[in-house]
Amino acid sequence: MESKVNREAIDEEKGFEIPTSMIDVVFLLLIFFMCASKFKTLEQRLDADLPKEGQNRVPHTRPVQPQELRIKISLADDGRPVILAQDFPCRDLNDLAARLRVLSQNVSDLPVVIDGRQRVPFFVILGAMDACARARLYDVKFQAPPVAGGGGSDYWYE
Amino acid sequence: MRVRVDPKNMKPAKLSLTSMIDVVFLLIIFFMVVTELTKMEAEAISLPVATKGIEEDPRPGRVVVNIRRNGVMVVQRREYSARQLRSLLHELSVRRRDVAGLSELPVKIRADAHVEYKYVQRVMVQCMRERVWKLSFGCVPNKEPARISSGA
Repeated sequence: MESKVNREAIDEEKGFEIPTSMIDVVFLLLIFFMCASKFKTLEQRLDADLPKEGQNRVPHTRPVQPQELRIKISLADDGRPVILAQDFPCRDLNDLAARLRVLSQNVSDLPVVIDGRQRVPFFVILGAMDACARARLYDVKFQAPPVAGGGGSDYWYE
Repeated sequence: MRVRVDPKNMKPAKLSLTSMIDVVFLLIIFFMVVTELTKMEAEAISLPVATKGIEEDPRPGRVVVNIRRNGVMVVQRREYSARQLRSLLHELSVRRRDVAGLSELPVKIRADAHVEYKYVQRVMVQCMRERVWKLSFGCVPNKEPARISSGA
């Protein structure tokens, strides 16, 4: 009887102990990596499909079609963007969206061509696309840049 | 046959935490791997804001072209010139052409908000040359559009 009890005690000594302290270390590591990871901001996208005709892009010399809206974005001398919707000047992007809603009132899914100068900051161009989306105009095209040698320091083509 | 159990000899029930350690290790490995993978595709770029952006839904085989503020194009952490980008697009799009010769390759352009438009146009031109038409632009959601004081 006594030897049986002793054997049990010895077995328990050699037995595997629950590593509670190891769990604490592992949890600390987990928390460290979670905090060290930089969670990125939720990102969205704006779709802008290019013409399926491929090389048959909108030429810069093509006359404005009566059934399309043209947004021209350039830079003033002081560097501020100048936004024209069908040659109407717009104060800001909210004004552009409102103007587009007025211009497209009678026609749904009117195609829009964004003609931006090459030095314009991209956020203005994307803002114009966003204004089109707010005016429920989803058929957005981009004016292609002219061919190199077409003149002016504002243009290039590779 | 009834088995007689002596309560004095019964050992207290113990909770085995061994499998929980395995789960925690797996979680650690998962976070370590995922952190590295998400850094590969997306550069640290300040994207422009938009109010009507669509929820990001990565399409299979999508190519992400990052454009830094200085106009440098980066794909999978590697810098590309215009010609190199066109070669890359050609290589990726040639396997995904439909009957009309158009490419089904989706391309996402993540351009810095203040990069000049000409650099974005450059990528668009290369896409058009390779008959890639499925384009999207990365943006950050915001309730208000970007503030612009027009010079008009």
